[in-house]
Amino acid sequence: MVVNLESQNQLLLDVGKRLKRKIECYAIGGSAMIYHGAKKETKDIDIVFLNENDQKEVVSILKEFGFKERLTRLVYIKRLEHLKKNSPIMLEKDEFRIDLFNKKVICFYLTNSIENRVTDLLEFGNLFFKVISPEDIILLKCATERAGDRIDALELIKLFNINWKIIIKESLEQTKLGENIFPVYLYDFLLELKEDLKAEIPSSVLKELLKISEEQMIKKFRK
Amino acid sequence: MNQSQTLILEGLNKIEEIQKKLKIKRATAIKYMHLLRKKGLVKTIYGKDKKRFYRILKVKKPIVGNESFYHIINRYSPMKVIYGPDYRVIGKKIGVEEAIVRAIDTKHPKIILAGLALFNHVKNWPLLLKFAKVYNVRRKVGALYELTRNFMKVRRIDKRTLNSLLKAKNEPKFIVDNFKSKDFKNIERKWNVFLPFNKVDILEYEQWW
Repeated sequence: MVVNLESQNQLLLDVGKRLKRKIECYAIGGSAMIYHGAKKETKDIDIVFLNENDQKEVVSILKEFGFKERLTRLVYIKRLEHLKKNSPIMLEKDEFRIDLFNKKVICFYLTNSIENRVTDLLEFGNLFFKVISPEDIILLKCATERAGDRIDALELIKLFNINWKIIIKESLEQTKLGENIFPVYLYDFLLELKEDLKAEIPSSVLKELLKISEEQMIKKFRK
Repeated sequence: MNQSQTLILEGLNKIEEIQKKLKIKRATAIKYMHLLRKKGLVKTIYGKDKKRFYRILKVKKPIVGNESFYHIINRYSPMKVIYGPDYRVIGKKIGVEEAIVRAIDTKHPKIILAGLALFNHVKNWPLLLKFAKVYNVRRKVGALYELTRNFMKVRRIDKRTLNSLLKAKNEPKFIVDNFKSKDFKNIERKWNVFLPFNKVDILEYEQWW
């Protein structure tokens, strides 16, 4: 079950042509990496919508195409189990697997700064598909923590000049919005990448993240 | 040339800078650019006095779909517009006629002003009318066409299209919200829309020629 650039474009174009009004959505994860040229194929297409109506409209069109809802597997790590109600709508048909999120991806919110950093805008009929930046893909990979996510993040670090300041700033922004201390997860994630997969992450970034994480944890426990 | 060398060179470089960064001869640097271009990792941009600048990429980004209306405006208009993300249209090719209407639909004065130059490149007036109908901007298209004719050489629109543009009903009056013209009242009255430009804006536009 793999999706490549051509099949992804064709599916999105079919959806876009069926839509009666303009809908904006965001490509994250593997499908965004395909548009960045960092990957040739992905297991699933991950899309984030800004509101539920847009999500429902696209889901109904995909169901008309023969897509069926599949049971949400517990792909999240234990600390996020309480967020199961925010789990995405997952559809599949033949080689396609599509995860459709609404505003939030597990514990990660789609903020204005992420919208401002969008690198590509693709117009598929009435479907406006925005591709998020490599920095934000790494942050999302940290939020989902699935099997292949570390390898994808490593590939992004290898291929792009990652602006670590953006990543640290956004992790703090996410902490403000959500109930999780995001810099702690990010520190864990990046440390593993550096130690196990030998990713080129500057030590200063890890030091700064550790410092922020400690501060944030103290703040959280004081509350 | 290995990946770490490409990493050092990523971004915009002159040939002298490449020589300096890699500590190589000029001829070798040119050869490297040739090899990278073959891989699709270099784009040459010409600066002042036809000086070559090489935009070097680490990853070959797939080019999907066709150009957006921003590209069309920048191709034909002396006044250029910048749009943040790389905007591509998949499944269709946008022409001058659609680009005019899409520019008006943005409701952004600079984009509309830059888009005025496209009127001189319209070949299919009925197609312009068709798109104007879809976006419900027929009167706006007509008013902007007439405004453009005042200061720029523009092809003559056929009468049938002009009349159809004038017949439009129930269209919002503002091209750009809350923007009215002080200098082109006659055009505004004829087309029953508010133009977002004054003579000063047109003078600014003429500077670009």
